[in-house]
Amino acid sequence: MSSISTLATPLAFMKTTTTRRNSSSSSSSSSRRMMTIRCDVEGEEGESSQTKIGARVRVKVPLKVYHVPKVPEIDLTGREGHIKQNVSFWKDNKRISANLPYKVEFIANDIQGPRGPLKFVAHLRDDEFEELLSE
Amino acid sequence: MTSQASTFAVSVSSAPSPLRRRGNFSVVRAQVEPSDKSIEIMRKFSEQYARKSGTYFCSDKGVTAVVIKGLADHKDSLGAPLCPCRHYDDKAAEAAQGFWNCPCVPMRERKECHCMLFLTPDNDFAGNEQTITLDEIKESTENM
Repeated sequence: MSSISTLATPLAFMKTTTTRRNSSSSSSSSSRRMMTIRCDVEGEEGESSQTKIGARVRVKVPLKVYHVPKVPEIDLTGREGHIKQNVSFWKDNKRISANLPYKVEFIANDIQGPRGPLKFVAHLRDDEFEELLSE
Repeated sequence: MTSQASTFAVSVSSAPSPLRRRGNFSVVRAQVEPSDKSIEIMRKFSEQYARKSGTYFCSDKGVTAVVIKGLADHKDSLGAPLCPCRHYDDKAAEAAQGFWNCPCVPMRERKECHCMLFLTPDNDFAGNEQTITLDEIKESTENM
């Protein structure tokens, strides 16, 4: 399923326009209608159009990660971090088909790292976190 | 130039005409096989990573074999084992950026492998093996 979803699913910043063209085909007697669908990519390069880099966010779905060194499993639910990067934009003009595009840095106060509270990075989807608007 | 498929079929059929030949259908299928060395490298990697991550191969080893072959094929053509179960617009950029380089980010962070190469023990399809031999790979995929 995911092998075709990268193209088939319209992304939030894409705009699809449908145009109708009347063309008379040579073989058939009645004129055929052709519909063309064009996807224009909106949004600036570098920064994501939906969620800004640097925004403080909180994870709102149950989520566990296993990639942090020395900590086999960390529960991210409810943790707060800030967005470091959107990995789907790469080198000015290239698009990457990552399904977890938001790289979020967390500081876990309850776990000790080598120097103070543990810092780690995790990749999230945009429906897995909510932006914290209050300071 | 990025061509997504490593196999392509060209069928040549005769047009209906008075001088009709008997249906000439020739299908040319060109498939580049991954090198044995790459298959061996990805096989070793898969075994080692399954051990390290505490995951298991699919109970149907054919699935495991096909994914390992796909990884080897990408390693040969792109230099990096891009996930073989996804579609990419720009394979070279994806290989350089690395999100989908095996082990991909969803696997590394969440232990989610949608290729069904690495399966957590609670998965219905997980077998109980973390090893696969080169013979098993060759046998499962010889008809491809």
